[in-house]
Amino acid sequence: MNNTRRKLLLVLLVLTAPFALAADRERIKEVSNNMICMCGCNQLLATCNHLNCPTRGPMQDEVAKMLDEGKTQAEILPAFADKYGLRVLAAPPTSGFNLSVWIMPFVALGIGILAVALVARRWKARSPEQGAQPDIDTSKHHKRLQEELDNYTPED
Amino acid sequence: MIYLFCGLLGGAVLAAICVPLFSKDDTLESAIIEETEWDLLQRKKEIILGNIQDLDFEHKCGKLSDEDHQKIRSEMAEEASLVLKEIDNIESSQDLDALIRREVSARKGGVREVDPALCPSCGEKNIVTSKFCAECGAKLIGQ
Amino acid sequence: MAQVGQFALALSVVVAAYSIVASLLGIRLKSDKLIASGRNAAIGVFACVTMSIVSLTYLFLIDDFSINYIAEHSNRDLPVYFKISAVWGGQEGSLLFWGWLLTVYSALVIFQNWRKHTAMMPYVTAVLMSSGLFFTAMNLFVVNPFNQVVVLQPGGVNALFVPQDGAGLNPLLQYILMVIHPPILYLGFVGFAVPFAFAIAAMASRQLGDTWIRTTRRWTMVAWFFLGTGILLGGKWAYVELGWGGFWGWDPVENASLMPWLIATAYLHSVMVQEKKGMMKVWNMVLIILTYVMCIFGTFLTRSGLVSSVHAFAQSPIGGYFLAFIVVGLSGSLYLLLDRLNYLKSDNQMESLVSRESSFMFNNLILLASCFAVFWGTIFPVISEAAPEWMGGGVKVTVGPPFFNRVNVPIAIFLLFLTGVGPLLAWRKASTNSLKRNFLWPAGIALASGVGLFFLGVDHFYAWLSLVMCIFVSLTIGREFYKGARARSVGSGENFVEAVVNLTLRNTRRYGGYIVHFGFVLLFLGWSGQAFTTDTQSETGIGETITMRQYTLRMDKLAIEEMPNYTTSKATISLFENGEKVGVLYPERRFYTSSGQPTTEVAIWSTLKEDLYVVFAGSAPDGKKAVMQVYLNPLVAWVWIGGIILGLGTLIAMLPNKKSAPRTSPVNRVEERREVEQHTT
Repeated sequence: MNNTRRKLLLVLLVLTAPFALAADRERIKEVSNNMICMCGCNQLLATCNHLNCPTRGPMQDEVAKMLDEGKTQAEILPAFADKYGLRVLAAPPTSGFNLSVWIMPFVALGIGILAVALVARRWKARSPEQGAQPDIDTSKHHKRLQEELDNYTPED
Repeated sequence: MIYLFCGLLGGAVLAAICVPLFSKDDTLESAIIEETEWDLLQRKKEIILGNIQDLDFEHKCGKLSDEDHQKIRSEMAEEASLVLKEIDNIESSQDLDALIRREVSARKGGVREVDPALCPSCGEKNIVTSKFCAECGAKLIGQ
Repeated sequence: MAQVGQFALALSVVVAAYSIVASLLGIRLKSDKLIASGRNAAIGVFACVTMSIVSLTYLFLIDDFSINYIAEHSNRDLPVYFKISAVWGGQEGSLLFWGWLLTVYSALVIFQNWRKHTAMMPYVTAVLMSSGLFFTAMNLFVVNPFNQVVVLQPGGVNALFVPQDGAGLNPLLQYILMVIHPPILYLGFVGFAVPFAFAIAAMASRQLGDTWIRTTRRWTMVAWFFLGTGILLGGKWAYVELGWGGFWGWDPVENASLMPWLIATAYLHSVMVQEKKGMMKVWNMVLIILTYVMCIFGTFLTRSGLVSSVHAFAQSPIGGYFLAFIVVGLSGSLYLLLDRLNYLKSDNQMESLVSRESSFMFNNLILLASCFAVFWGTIFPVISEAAPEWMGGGVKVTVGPPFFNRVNVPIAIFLLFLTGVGPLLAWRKASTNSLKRNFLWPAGIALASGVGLFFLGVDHFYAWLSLVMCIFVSLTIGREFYKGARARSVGSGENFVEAVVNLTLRNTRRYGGYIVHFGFVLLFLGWSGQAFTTDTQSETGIGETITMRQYTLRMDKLAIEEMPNYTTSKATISLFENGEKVGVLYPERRFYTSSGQPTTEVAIWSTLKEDLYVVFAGSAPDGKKAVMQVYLNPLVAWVWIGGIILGLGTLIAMLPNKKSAPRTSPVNRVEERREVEQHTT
């Protein structure tokens, strides 16, 4: 009984092996898209394509090994950062001083929105009450305006 | 060879720089013509006219409700009237400066001396007394 | 000839300096003679720098390796067109090229505008020549392309030396797109010097109507066109030459060209508010100043070695000078701006927050936020390293694609949304009624197709959102053309196609703009495809196959060929789609002899639906097999198609408006007028 079970499991494993490999490839790619290749090319580990790159292979093997050990991306990245320095991460972690790289754009956007809102309010507040100046007789200009309009073609 | 090239270049540049300095002819080529109140008003008028045209067209396209169109158009017409009035004021006042400016700007654009019988929109030559272009129906300037 | 080039360069520095002094002094002393002399001097600078660059090109063509720059960037076997492109292939030459383009622009501007804008032109000349002076002086004193090769002899004596052959042009640059990419990009960078100069001149001469904007409108579009085209060509180059499967990697060099483009785009939109309503005057000044400063900053970024990059130039001492130039230029312009604030008051007020004006403000806000995000991410590694340790700084970090994508993707999609919304809002105020009229159908259809897309299996959120927005924006643009043409054909009796054409030609700026917007939609379409790329890698021997979805690749031949300039390993691969042979691909791995550098020549099978992208990644250890990397990139072709439409739209927007107005018969016009009069009185 135990034996057949083991056999079955083996068959299943063999059958799914190609799929598992493909899945691993995807996962390795996913993780190494968040890392920089340390060969000095400054490209992502996933896309570094130097001929005989000395670091790409070993680094990806390391990733594969960690994935095999059941580690998640969230665990692998800090481990790499410990080993190679923060520089290996393709984007800084969201903690400490490095948090500022993430929040500053949104802080700037917020300030921008605030500024626009303020300016818009000021511009709106400045708008004069249009109905309050009936003393200017504009009706005689209407005809002239229409004539001007007829003659007008936009310059460019 | 080298000296020839260098000499030619140096000489040409030096001549280009010096000729205007020693030219006797005191043309007012770069006489500084600044924009006057009148110029700015003219420009403002053109802008408002353009805006009204755009507005009318957008309305015609159906992008604006009649209500919006009428409201905005009357606002714009109001603005235009104010500008027209200011232009009239300047022109009717004996502001010599402004008149000179007008003359100058007319001269500046003098190349486009308008023939009253030429249609401004399609270029068709019309009889001098016509009010509208026989070809396309546009209004003629001469009238 | 080197002496001629050197002499011309030296002369250009002196003459540029004279031109500035003469122009400014001429204004001060009200001397026409001095002003005219300053103008002629500016033309003289053009002549000098032209002479200088011609002689450098000549030296490249005759293989004069006694010149250091040529020895480093050329070799005897280099084809002639690459020898010419090598003129701008390195630090020294590209700076000279930058300066030369500037003088070309200056000369053109002077010829075009001298009589029209007499009050501004001396200032314009002075501003343009200040940039000219900086670049020519840099070339003369700091990175001189005419320096000779010098070797240190034993005993500490320097001696001249003529190498037998040059080190060759960087192989990555030996590609036809790379011949035209830098000049186009520079034409863009340098082009913004013109509107910048007019802006400064307008402030200096207190001519603060919208003359300066109208005068430089086409110049700005030309620069914007070249900058955008340059960026896209760069992307195309990266795609076909760098071989990592993508076209945009958020590299500092790419960012350097994107930043001025983003601000310039904001500027192109916000000037319309000033032209139409006389508002945002100060803001437009700020934008054009920032655009030009960003152009210089970008040039600085790529050359100073400040940030590490895939293809930044070698480190050199020019960084400090550039920084000084930027600081001086920026503070000078801003000081002038502050001084002239009184002249820049808005003529009008804002009627409503739901209006075209406010949509332009949001557009500006978003573009600038995006630019800031790019800027911040690009320089953050420097900041982080310089920051004191107690703050957590002092560490080298990398800010790469994950950061830029996460921050900029939502921003970009929101921008796309605004592209659809903005043109539908009326100037001044859009009432709910008008809004409903314009948005109900496009938004409804877009949402419905969004649901459809989801069920078709588009499960990547941003890609989905981007596609929905693409549909929405296309619909609104199509509607604009349709409604405009219909309104036109009612009065004029033109058929629909005629009406569309005439509509566009009569208001080139608006409808050209819509075409540009549509180009962007296609760009976004292609870019959304990036979310669905797949790739595979395998060692393939002759006769073996690789399968990727419906495609099968069969390795037919592996050969090594000797070319004069390089040795190449070339694979011949038959491509089958669903079992049918559709083509042959030739991916290569080249090894350049003179520089000892390998490059890859990607083979791409491109269809509208997807690109099959085959990279010869290397040879397997036994030499019998080749390592092939195959990517399947959906929709990439649309990026390039979008780029072309974008360019066409820009060109249309630059055309002068066709004058003939759509005239109905005089009788109708009288009727119309009566109607209008009734309304208005």
